[in-house]
Amino acid sequence: MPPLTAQKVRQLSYTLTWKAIAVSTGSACASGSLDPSHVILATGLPAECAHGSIRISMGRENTMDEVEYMIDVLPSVIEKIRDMSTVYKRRQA
Amino acid sequence: MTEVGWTYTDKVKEHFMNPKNILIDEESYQDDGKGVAGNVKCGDEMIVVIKVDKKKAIIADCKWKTFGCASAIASTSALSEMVKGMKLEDAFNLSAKDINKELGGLPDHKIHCSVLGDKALRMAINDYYLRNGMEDKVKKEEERVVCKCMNVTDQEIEHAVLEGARTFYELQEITKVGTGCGECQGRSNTTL
Repeated sequence: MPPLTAQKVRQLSYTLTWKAIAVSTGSACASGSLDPSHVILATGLPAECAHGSIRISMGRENTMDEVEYMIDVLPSVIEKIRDMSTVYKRRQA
Repeated sequence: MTEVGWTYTDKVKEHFMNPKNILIDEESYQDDGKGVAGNVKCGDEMIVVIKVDKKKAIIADCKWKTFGCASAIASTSALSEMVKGMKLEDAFNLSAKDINKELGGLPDHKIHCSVLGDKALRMAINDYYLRNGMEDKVKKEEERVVCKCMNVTDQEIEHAVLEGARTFYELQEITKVGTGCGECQGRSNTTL
């Protein structure tokens, strides 16, 4: 998934947790770390993108219904977080 | 799944899920003072704008935007509610500790997220004084900020050293200095 550049995603992952969706702000081996993804940084994207990226993965127990639910919920969550962001509009300008 | 130490109080949750006073109309908002603290490179940035009731010298309105985590959002939201109707000088003296208290406490490793809002607010108040020819009222931050990411001052570092910190790692444990971009390690070590 491309970086959202919307907002630091610990926020996003927290909101999604609220909606009973579990996502990560980094890879599993780096979970618990508050640092931006070194992988995203290494691809040349700026820090705000690294802070604003999210990792979504699926396992064998996930269902299509859950995928649909995620697709339903995610846009409004992102929009809400972008409203609060100091960065998003600046990058759009 | 609940991780120990990651528990947010109801107040933090409420301010994060339903934040108050977001600066949506940033371009058209006619502020009397504006402050920007932190930077996105380190991961947290806050904009605080105020409108001032000039006769009473109180904050009539306060809005904000924050690029940061749930705790940072909740902190700025809570701050914006706290300062409305407050005298400028009282608002200037608000500390991160006051915000933390208002929120009923933040997880230990998230306390640093509440330190930028009060700083941005002080900048906004000083900005108001400057714009209105009250240079004499502008209060300089007496302490020197060593770590810009976490807003750690030389006095805090000195204090930590007095309390027994002997290595940079111990300083980080106590003050969070250099836990953002790490650029300030050299400056911090001069105090050790």
